[in-house]
Amino acid sequence: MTEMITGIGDMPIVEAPPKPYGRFRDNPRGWLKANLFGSKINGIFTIVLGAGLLYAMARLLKYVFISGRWEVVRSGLTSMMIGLNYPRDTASLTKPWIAVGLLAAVGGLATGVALRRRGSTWYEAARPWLPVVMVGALLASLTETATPKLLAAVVVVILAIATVIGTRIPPERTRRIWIVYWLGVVVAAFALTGRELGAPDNWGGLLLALYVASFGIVISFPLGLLLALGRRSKLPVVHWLSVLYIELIRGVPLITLLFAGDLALRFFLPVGTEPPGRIMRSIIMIVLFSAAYLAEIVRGGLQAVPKGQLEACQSLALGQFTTLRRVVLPQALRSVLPGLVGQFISLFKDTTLLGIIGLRELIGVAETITSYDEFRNQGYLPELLTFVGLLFWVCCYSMSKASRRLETRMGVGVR
Amino acid sequence: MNVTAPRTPLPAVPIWRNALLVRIIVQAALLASVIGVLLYLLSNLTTNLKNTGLPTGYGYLDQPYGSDIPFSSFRPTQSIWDALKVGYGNTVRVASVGILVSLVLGVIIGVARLSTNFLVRTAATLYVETIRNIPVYLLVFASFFVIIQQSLPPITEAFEWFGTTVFSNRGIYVPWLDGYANSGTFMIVLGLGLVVAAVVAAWRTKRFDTTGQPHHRLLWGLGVIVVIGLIGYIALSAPVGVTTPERDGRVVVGGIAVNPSYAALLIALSLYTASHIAEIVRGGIQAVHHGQTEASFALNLTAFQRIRLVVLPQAFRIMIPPLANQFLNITKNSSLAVAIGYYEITRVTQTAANNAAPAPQAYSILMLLYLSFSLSISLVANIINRQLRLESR
Amino acid sequence: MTSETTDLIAGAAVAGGTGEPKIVMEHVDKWFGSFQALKDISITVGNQEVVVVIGPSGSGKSTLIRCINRLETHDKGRILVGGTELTRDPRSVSAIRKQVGMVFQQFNLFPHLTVLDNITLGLRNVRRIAKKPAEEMAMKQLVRVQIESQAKKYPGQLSGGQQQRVAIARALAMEPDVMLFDEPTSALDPEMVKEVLEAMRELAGSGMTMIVVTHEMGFAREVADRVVFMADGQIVEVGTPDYFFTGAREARTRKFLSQIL
Repeated sequence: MTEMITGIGDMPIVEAPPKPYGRFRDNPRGWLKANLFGSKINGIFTIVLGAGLLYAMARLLKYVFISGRWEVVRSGLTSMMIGLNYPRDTASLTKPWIAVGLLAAVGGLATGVALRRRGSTWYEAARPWLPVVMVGALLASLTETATPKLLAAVVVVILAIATVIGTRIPPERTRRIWIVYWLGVVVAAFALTGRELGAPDNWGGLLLALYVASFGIVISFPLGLLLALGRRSKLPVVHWLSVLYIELIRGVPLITLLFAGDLALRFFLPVGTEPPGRIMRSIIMIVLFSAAYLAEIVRGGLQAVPKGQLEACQSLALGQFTTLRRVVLPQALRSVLPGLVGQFISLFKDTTLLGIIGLRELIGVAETITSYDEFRNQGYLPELLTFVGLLFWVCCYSMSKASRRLETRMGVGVR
Repeated sequence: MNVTAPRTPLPAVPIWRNALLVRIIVQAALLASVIGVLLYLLSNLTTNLKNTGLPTGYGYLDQPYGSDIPFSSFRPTQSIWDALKVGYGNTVRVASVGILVSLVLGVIIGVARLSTNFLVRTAATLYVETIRNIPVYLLVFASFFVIIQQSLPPITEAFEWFGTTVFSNRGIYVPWLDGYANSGTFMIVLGLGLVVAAVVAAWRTKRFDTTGQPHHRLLWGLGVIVVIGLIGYIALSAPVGVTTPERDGRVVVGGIAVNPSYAALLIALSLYTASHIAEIVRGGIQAVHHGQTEASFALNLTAFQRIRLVVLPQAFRIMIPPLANQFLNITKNSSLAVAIGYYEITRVTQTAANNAAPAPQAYSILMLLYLSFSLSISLVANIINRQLRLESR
Repeated sequence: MTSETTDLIAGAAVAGGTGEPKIVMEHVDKWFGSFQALKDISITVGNQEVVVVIGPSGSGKSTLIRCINRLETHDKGRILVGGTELTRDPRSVSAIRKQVGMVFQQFNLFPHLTVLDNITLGLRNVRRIAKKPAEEMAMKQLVRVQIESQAKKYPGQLSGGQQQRVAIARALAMEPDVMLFDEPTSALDPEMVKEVLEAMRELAGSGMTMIVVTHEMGFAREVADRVVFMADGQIVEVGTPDYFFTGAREARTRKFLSQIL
């Protein structure tokens, strides 16, 4: 059980095969012949599949523009963003906007710095933001009042300004810039939660999903790192305890852990202790869960550091801790970054499971909205679920695209 | 001559710097604290359980389960343990069929992603990139509540497809085999046919090895089994038949009912897992070094021979660990059934816990059951992996 | 054969070194599982002596020098470096590693650090030298191996020969008493071998104690004080380069030399 289970991230990275017969615009006839009608069977495939795709596209267009009743999304938008029971007074509603603004500032700054450091073009820098902006525009267009539209515009302006500032920072001063990023994210988190760090139980929707996923990944990363190091330890007790933990957690579905956290956790607390809130309980279980997976990701990174690196450190009489901190971790964590993004994506998707234990995340909100008087028994679920799916798809797709770019870039850069 | 080298003795090692001793002490302390924490939690558990009046042991398993399990012969008076057995069977059913379906689908789509046909390639890419980036629970939820519950008609207005299949949101009824007299004998004949087919295939292989003539062992084997089956069917005067479902008002007779929850779960899990398997297949094929393809060209192998004899065996080796991981995932994801009322182990446990079974024990058993699945899948994958490992220095 | 070889060792040790011996190995055995990699190795390397170790692949040459700075643990016998015995005590290991520099076949430069940072890493973290003086020391070594213009680059941007010279500079910056070279030119393209050997030759001329595992017979003939021939984990013969290349006594040695020359 120890060695075999490896994710798709472990697959050797290979370059995509060259597109056969060049580009369409260079030689349209040759391209068509090669790509669509290369042989008789190919021609049949093309015709059948083409007809099927056209039909599907027609159905989709009809659904989006004619038959879809999107007013249900419009009226439920706020609930899907922040939850059904999130307080609706101005002060509370401002908090998420402050957080979004701060995150936009951090994102813009990072984009700007990368832009300057790598000397990439504006287009290249803007591309990863395109899906985010598109969905932002879609969301803004769906709102019922003007204030959110205005605020969304402000966020875009903040993003642009931060990017420009990022490009103005001279490269030699960007070495410790990640401290600024961290500060921004932490302040954003505090802006949302106030002084107590836990998420209040009235949160829901996208806010809950993103918060749980981010919180989960941030807290579980150090744990995962420790577990990975423990698994590679030469001390047998440390090694076997780590292996036991990792394999136990990876062997069970998240939903059973969430159930256990929801229903069984309180039995393990000292007599008379109030268990933490429902969201906090889920976060605890998600952290325990994610740590085991991160440990395996980090272990992959550690294994990718060649043995010669350790020997070089030994021959220089570097201590174990220095070796780890200055040589092993910098190389290992760099190769781990795409895996980390992947884990964040899957955690983000897994937040939907919170709906099963009774929290109102996106699917839960959608379900609840269909039980409201004005929408009950009219089959509004498809529209709502389509919207939820679109939200998830855009977030996950753009993140995984970004991480794939990261991967190829690092593959070229390091060695 | 022996060189007696001058020796600068190191100062005596103080006891707290003795590496061996420090190691032992650190590990002992760690082990002791882990055990201590576990014991502490356990003592909390027993006290809390006693305070709430719940049983502290596993005796509750013999108590009656208290509810029905749809689409099974289980009765509420049977024990929780029996209910778990039914749930176990249901998990195995959805996981094993799901693994098969998603594997077939995934391989087709994965290969399609490398097709020279632009449309095939694009359609496959579209599928993979769409499904992979959507939560699997959303798929399960949507396929049950939208496809099954909302799109299928109620039983009174069920949709009947050419008199063979009845679609309704209460269940999907499909044709099934029905045994008459001699059906047992027919089964034995079919089993014998299988043996004969295997012998014939082995003979073809041997002939291929000695003479170099093409073997066509699959064709021969299939032919043998079909011929034997036909002869048996006629000789035993039609021992098996097919029953088709027929609806009469709210009752459907004949055929076999498919649990709509099961159908929804199977569809969603297979579609989702297939998108991941497709990526694994594509990656595995692409990871085979291009030089291997060139070498096959140089040997003048046909395209089919190249893929079957050179590319796939190498790709398969790379694909096993991630594939095993996906099989594990589909098994674990079958727990999502808890939300759509398919009674596999998670749902059974959930219901039991709601019916006053002690939650800590109930979930500990659930986790053990899942661990048994994980361990057996990993074990099989490890054995295959070891068999296929390339020998190298 | 033991008495014969030890005689040779003793005779040659006096010829090569001055003053106290730098490295002493006495009856060292090393096992990898059931395979014995080193069999009763005894050798003494004098101060400022250059010893070249040759032999067929798998003969234990690399294992021999890797035992000296504890990249491999020896199972039997004694190893002393600069009078300190190599024991299980981590302090003796670290004391010896500070005296011994090593250059690897695969360079083993740190890919995430610039050339300069590669060299200052040990200076700052092991020898606890402040940033400025550490960088000055590093530049001095880079000048010595004639690669100072590449200080700000990353290892991946350099050629193999340049990388290996950086590795030499990195080891030298720690100011070791002894340098170990584990096939330093084997991973290089032929046209880059010369620049690395040049740096090693200069080092030998400056009076560094060196043990070099190599297949470069020209280098052995020209620079070595003594040549050690190993086969099957044993030291078969030890002698001056002249002795080796004009007619070694052992048949195995002659056979090996005829195969590679």
